[in-house]
Amino acid sequence: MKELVEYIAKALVDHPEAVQVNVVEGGKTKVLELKVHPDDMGQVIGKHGRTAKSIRTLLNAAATKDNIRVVLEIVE
Amino acid sequence: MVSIEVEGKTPEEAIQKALEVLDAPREKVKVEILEEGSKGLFGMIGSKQAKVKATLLEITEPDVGRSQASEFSPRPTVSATKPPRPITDARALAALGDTPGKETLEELLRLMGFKAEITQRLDGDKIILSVHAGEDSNILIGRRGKNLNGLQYVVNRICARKNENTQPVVIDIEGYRERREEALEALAQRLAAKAKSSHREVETEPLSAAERRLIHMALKDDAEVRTQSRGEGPYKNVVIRPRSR
Repeated sequence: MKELVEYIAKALVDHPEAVQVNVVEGGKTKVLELKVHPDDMGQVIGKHGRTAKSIRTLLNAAATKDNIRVVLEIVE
Repeated sequence: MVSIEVEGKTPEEAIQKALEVLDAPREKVKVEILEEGSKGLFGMIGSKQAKVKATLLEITEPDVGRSQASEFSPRPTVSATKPPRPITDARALAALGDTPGKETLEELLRLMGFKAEITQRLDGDKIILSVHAGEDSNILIGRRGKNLNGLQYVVNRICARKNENTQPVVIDIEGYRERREEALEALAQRLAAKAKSSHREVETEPLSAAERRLIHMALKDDAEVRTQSRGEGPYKNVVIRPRSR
């Protein structure tokens, strides 16, 4: 899950070295905190939040397979 | 031996595209016409794409190329004096190659924990990546194609960032796109009938641009209704109104 978010984020931003993903485990729910360079916020969120929504969709699909819940938070 | 199947409005157009993809002269490619294609009524209803199968000839055998070439190509076929140009499978595969889209999709699926096989093909000028994931296919498609569309969006975003000129890919899983297309066309007809009998406008659920287009196209020749997209961003849908006489 972590690698998935990292891969997508790094592929979309101008500063891939600034991409950071922290995993907060909490029982059946996993929280992924994605941190990117301030200038890249728009890239990972997208118009109408479409990119962020798509990343969450992919995470949910992967989580469904593993029978867990995953929440993606994009932090500044 | 490298073979590709290509579609086009006419057999000639399909052959031209095939040659571009294979990056080979006409005489080095054996062409089989799979579908002649037809214009259909008004060039719209019932029109069928022409489909050809183009096979790159590995060894230069002028005879093989000529037999079918003469039909469409006014160009003379290989002359004996022309030095045979080495055509390797590698080159043709590189021309068709693994597109950036396919590689990105493979990586994404791997990271998502799915085992899937991906095949790519050309449909007209669209690159279609077909995913075969067995029993995981339903998860990958998601409700009303949500996961599939998310996947397609992310792949295209990533590819567009890497190279501005990449052409968008269409991702399909076990023929889902075609089934959805048929379902949407049926829906369009049902809603149009409802609009006509009730004399009121009816609307669809929110649809993607490609899906809205399908509804518009399905009803464009229906003189009794008008279609219009309404709403903003992800909530955009199509309104079907009875046309007042």
